[in-house]
Order: sequence, then C-alpha cells, then structure tokens
Amino acid sequence: MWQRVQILNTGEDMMGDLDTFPKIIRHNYEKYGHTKIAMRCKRFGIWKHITWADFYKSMNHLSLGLKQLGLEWGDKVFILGDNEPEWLYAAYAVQAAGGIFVGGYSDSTANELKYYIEDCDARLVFAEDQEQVDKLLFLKTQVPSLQKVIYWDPKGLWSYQDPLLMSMEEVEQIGRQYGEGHPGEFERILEQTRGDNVALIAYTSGTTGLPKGTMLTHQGLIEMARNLLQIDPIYETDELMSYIPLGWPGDFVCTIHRALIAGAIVNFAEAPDTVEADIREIGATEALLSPKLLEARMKEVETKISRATGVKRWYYHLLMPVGYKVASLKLTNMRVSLFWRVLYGVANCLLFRPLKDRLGYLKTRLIFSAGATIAPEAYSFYHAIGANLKCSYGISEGGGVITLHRDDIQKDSVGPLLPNIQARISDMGEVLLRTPGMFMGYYNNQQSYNKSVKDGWFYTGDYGYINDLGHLIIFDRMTDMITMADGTRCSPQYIESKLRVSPYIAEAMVVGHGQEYLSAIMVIDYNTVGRWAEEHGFSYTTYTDLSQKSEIYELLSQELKRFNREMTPGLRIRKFLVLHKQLDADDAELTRLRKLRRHYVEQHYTSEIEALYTNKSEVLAEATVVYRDGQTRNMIVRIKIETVEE
Amino acid sequence: MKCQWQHTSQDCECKLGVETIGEILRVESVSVTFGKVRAVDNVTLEVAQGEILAVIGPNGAGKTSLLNCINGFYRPERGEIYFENKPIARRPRHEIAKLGIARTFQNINLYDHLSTLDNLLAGRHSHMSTGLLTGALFFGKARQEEIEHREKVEQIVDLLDLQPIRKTPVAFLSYGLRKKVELGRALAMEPKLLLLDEPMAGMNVEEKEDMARYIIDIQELRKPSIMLVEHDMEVVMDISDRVIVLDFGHKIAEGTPREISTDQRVVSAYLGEEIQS
Repeated sequence: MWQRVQILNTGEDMMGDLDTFPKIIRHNYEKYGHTKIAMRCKRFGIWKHITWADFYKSMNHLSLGLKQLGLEWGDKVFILGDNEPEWLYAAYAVQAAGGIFVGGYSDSTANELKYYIEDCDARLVFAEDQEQVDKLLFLKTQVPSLQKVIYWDPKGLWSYQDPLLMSMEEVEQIGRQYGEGHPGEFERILEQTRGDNVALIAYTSGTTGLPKGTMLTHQGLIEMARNLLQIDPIYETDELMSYIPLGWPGDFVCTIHRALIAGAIVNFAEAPDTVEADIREIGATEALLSPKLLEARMKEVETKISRATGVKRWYYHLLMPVGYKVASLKLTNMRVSLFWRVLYGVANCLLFRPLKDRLGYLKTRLIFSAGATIAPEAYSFYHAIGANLKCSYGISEGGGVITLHRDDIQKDSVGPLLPNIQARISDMGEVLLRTPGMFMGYYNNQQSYNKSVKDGWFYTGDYGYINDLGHLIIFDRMTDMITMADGTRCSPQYIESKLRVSPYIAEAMVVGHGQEYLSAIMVIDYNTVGRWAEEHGFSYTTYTDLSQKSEIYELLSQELKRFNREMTPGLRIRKFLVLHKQLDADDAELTRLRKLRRHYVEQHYTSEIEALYTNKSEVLAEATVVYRDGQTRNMIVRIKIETVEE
Repeated sequence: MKCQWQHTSQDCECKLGVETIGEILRVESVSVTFGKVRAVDNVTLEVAQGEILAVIGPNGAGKTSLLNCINGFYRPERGEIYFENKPIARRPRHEIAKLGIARTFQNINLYDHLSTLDNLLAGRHSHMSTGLLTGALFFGKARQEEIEHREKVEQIVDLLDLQPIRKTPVAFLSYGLRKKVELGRALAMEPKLLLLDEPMAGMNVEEKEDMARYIIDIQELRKPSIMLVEHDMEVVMDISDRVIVLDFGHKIAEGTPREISTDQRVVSAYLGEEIQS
C-alpha cells in the first residue's frame, strides 16, 4: 500500500515548524494514523504491530502522567532497559513534557547506576523489569533524591509494595484521566518544546575516565539525521532493527531518528539472545552492527564450515575465492570483466545468496559498521558474499554520524564527510570537527567542555588524517597511539582487529609504548579453543586452566607467526601471554558496549606487561576462583610468556 | 487464633497468614517397601493450597519415593493419598495427571529430538480433546485448539525466558536449560499441584538463583501448590513456606524454615552428632 517514496532530505515541507521529535511523532500520527505501522515488537512469539496512532497515544498519556507526577521543565529522567517500544514511549513522553531523557545500560551494576543517576540529577527513573528495579531499590537509601521508579514489565514484581514503585500503566492511566479533564493540554505543552532545547543526554563510554554526559539538542539531532538521509535515504516501507543499547546514542542517530523522519518501521528484538534470528525474520533493510559482531559472525561461518561434511567444505572453498576476487576488483575500483561477472553470478546463486539468507542480510541494502575499527578480513568477507558493508564514523559530541562510505570505497578509510560537516586536522594529528549537531556541553562539567571545544571546533581525541579524495582515516585515540623506541607510531586498535580474526582469539591488547618491540595480551575464545582442546584430546577444568596449557600457547604461536608474516617488520608481535581470565565489563575492563578500557587494563596488569619486556618466562598473578557452590578462593596463577619465533 | 500449622497470629511465618484455605493434598500413613528396605515408612503430611512445601533429607531418605507415590509411579502398600479429598493412591498415572498433578524429574525426562516448543506442547496433552483424524488433517476445531494451546505455551516461554531456544531440539541444550524446559512442560499442564524433584541439582550458583526466582514467580502468578524435594538447604530456607524432613523413610520434623534450621534432630541428621565436651 505504501509506496517506496524517497523522503527527500531537502524536504522543507516536512521540517519547518517540526523542530522537536515529539512534534515529528504528532506529524506522523496526523499523516498515517492507524493505517501505518510505526514499530513492531515480538510478544508471545508473534510480531505485534504498533501504529503511529498507538505511539502517539502512549506518548500523550504518559507525558501528562509524568507532569502529574511532578516532572518539571528541563528535568532529567533516566531510562533503563533493553530496547523495547516502551523505552521509546518513555523517551518521547519525557521530551514532550519538556524534560530530557538519559539512557542507561541494562547490564550496569548498581554502583554504576548510582554514578549516572546522581550525575544527571534524575529524580524519576524508568526501569524495565524486576532485575533493574532490584538494583534501584538497593540504591534507594544511597540516592535520596530518587522519587519514583516506573517499571513496564511487571513480571516478578507482583508482590513488591515499595511506595517508590509505580507501573507505566498506572502513570498512563493518570495521564489519560487528566487529559480527559483537560482537553488540548497535551498539545499545549507539546507546542512549548523548541528545537534548541536539550533533547537527550548521552554518556560517553568512559574508555579513558569517568563517563561524561553529552547534551544534544533536538534541532542538532534532526539536522544530523537529515544529513545522513541525504547520503543514505530510507523509505516508508523500510524495516529497521533497533537492538544496540539505547544508552549509546548510535542507535538513535542511525536508526530511530531517521525512522521517525522518514516514517519507516522500527523493529525490536524479542530478547537480547534472539537478535540474529529476529533480524532474519524481519528482513531488515538496513542494519547497524558493531565490528566485533560482524567479525564474530564471519568466524562463526568459517568454524561451521570447517565442521561441515566434505562436500560442503569443498563447495565453499571452491566458490569463496570467486567472491574475494570480484570484491577486491570492486574495492580497488577496477573493472570486473564479463568472465568474472558470470562466474560471480553462478557463485551467488549457489553460495552467496543462501549464505546471506542464513545470516539474515538478504534484504539488507546497507550494513553500517561503526564504533571501532573492523578487521580488513571481515570487510572483504562481507563484500565477497555481496553484502553492502560500509564503514562509518560517528561521535556523540558531534551529534551523530560524521562520515560514511559511498560507492568509492577505500578499505582503510571511514569514508568522506557527510554534507554540512567540517573537519580539519590539528598540528598534532588530532581530528577536529564542526557539525550542525554539535553538543551544548557536558552536563555539570564546564571544565571538560572548555578543554575539548576551542573556537567552535570540537577536539575529538582521535588521531587521523584526510586523504586527497576527502576520505577520513582514523587510526586510534590520540592517547592510545603507541610510539615505539625507534619512533615508529602505530595504532593498537588496528593491530588488535587483525589479531581478532583468528577464531581462537576473543580479545587482544597490544602494548609496546616506548619499547623496542610490540607484545600482546591475549584472551582466548573459550568455546572454540575449548572445542579445539577436546578434538586434540587433552582435558582442562576451567578457563584459567585451559588458558595456561602449553598446547594453547603453541596454537597461538602458530596463529601469530601467520599474522607476523602479513605485517611490516616494525609491527610484528614478538612476545605474548594469555590472560588467566576473560575481560569483563563488571570488572571495569570493558565498557558496557564491550570496548576495551585500555588504560584501566594497563594499570591493572602492570606486572604482566612489564614481564613481557624482561627475560622472564612466567609471571605470577593472583586470581579469584569461584566454585560451583559460590565459594571463592584466591589462587596464584603462573602466566606463561612466550616469544614468537621469526 | 492459630493457623493450621499451629502458629499463633503473632509469630505466624506462613505466608498464607492465619486463615489458610485448607489443604490440596493429604498423605495418610503411607508406607512403601522394596524387599527389606522401607523407603517410606508411615508418612503423614498435608500440602496447603498455594504453599511451597519443601521435603528435605539425606540420600535414600525416601523423598523421591514419596513423590512417586503421589503421582502414581508407586503404589503404597499401606495408607492413602487424598488429592482435593479424592483418594488417588490406586489410580493410574494419567488420571492423576489429569486431576492436576504435574512433576519434574531428578534426571530430566524430555523428548530429546523434539524442540522446546513441542516438548511444552506435549505437556498440554491432557487438555487436548481433538480426535486423531481431525488432528491429523488439521481441520476445523483442531486448528483452533492448536492456536489456543500455542498461546498457553507462549505464556510459559515468556515466564521462563525460553524465547531463544524455542525451536532448538532439547538434546542440544545445556543441562540447566533442559531443567527449565522440563519445568515448563510441567507448567503447561496447568497443574494445581506441582511436584519438583531436585530442580536445582547440578546447577551453579547463578542458575540456582534464577531457578529459585522462577519458582517464586510461578507461585505468585499461577498460584499452584508446590512440593519440592531439594538438597540445597539455602534455597529451601529461602523459598519455602514449610519444610518436612525425612530420614530413613520417617518424617522426623516439620515446621517453618526457621524452626527446622534450629531443630536438633535435623541438625544431627544433616551434620552428625555434636561431640559433647
């Protein structure tokens, strides 16, 4: 019924007085009403439709309800939960009432939540379910300013009677009743919202220090979304998928904001563990995926193939090179001859299409890879099977997506700048930005703002350059760049992404600042290495035990030898050790988006890193072992250090 | 005024309060012997409506045998079992199931090659009324009925967070997940009385905590009476309203978790005699 109408970004007709997101939602409600789906979520195994009218009604009632609960103009409201329609109802109800929402991560510990809630002065908190509510009730006495916790999934909360708690349904009920007594009231408060109001506060991931609250305005975010739409238009009929934690603004700027403006459909996964199956069921037309996930899925394909029957393996290894060949021609902007095109067509029917179908990317026009450096091997893999993977660079303080690959792909770059965005490189090599969606400041932290914004330029802290074709190339964070004793500079993130291509390596951290050579701290992939151990007939008890087996060190040595052959001599890994534990966000070693907190890890494992630059063959570390019955014991683990032979 | 466990209203720890709503199950002087071993020896107990009753005791104390008597696997030699005041001790198993008693097993009994969904649907068997022919042709009422059963099953999927494994054959699932599926299948029967045989055995701490949470959720949402056999004292003390202790087939104690944890006979059965100084 709905045409694939391209929503032109220049569309003055649409924007004009639609300067805030709640107003855009009202506009869509007036345009589509009950006739078009705004969102879809899976409940009891069935995809449930939410029309624009449903969306608007929920926002309306909830917003009035929040007003009745005492939400004042400019109040911050913290939202905690997995991606679900209710999350967006809460977010836009807060904005409609003149408030500002702050997104959190549902796997945060109570202590982390305490920091966020106190830092942003939130009095009202939305929490998805019992798990989140329990953390907030635990904080009740420590954060006395907390006035209400509003939950939307009552499962397990039936017998809770704390006066702090209230269900979202109750709040909507209060709003509905108030609205009936005061017709026109919601429209009146909605009209008061302005484009230059702060729309949301997004906390930085805190890879270097305490997370800072970035304040972004409606107008800025809308401009940035329109910028992206100019380069990558989406259609009313598009199916987008939202599943990346909404505490990170990436999903808003790539998915939700564009869907609101273009009237596309946002789909929510049933549970965090069903995302991949749900993407496939929905047939998402665009997908935002983290490099780590893309790499993991590539490894999964390769591992599964290596276990498949001989015929299937033969078939895969026969046809994949065709894909790689054609992809490499295309990526270097060379002409693909008729011979290769025919061959590719055959391989596409026999392997690539079915593979894309299995991965759920059959209908996907564009896969965004954002957030970190993607391994070149993964990049080639997706292009070989014909998935349109494009790298992108975005930054919260800039208000969204800054660059995106077009069709002239250059593998190492993150693409040219989007329209209306200026960038230059400082003398130190730092990327400076000026965007229409620049942040207003860090909440309650003027000092940091003064440090990072000078003369209207935002100092990103990223080290990079712009090449002749106008492509931005990002190496790493300025502070993370490694300068070796001989002056060679390198980006650890790039080397790590290449190391992670090995199916046996889950995480790697490259060190070597001021040293003669590079070393790596490895975290093995418990599943694949565990299976490898079983296949090769040796037993292990725990991760710690497995990680220190000499066979595993031998296995990784082989992987590193192969890796070293591909690298220039200065960038080879000379020594490595396998960490006795997996890195964990609960131990502050990773951020909630599973990015490495390099400086923290460096501080935490100082003696291990030092040992990599001595003649020692092992280093002692203390480890806490948790038994099945919950008892813990502190043990001393001998971590081996291995030198990779040339 | 006293509740049925003889607690006065001030110190009543039964969640049910003083006015309990009678019993759902009554076991009267039941005995079972295997050769010379008395697995269950003259045990009498009641399960109240909506309560969580834990049965504890050392290995071979007769806990599982007792459950087997209740759901009809064993025929007691002496004594009688009343479910909602109807004698059931000599009835066949499927009839007992139909009356509303469901159970899980110590060593998981699922259809390994069927998916989680199909295993749960199997639990709906006693509620299905379509004949073989209409069922096979998927015709008329059969279709409607299938949809209704699927809805009920989906509610359980939601309650126990089984979404990611809906279509996975249970043989591929981990031990902890299979235990959850088995619990789900028992729930699918919509039982009035749920018998759980060591639901937490072999689980790690986190899985145990989750399972305890599920049992409490089930009790709050669906209000079945639950009788559970368990080794883990900590879990038992946390979630049960009342505890019964068996030793060598005898009931040696009965009371609230707090009473049981200080009972001298229980302490000695579990930890051995204290050395008198």
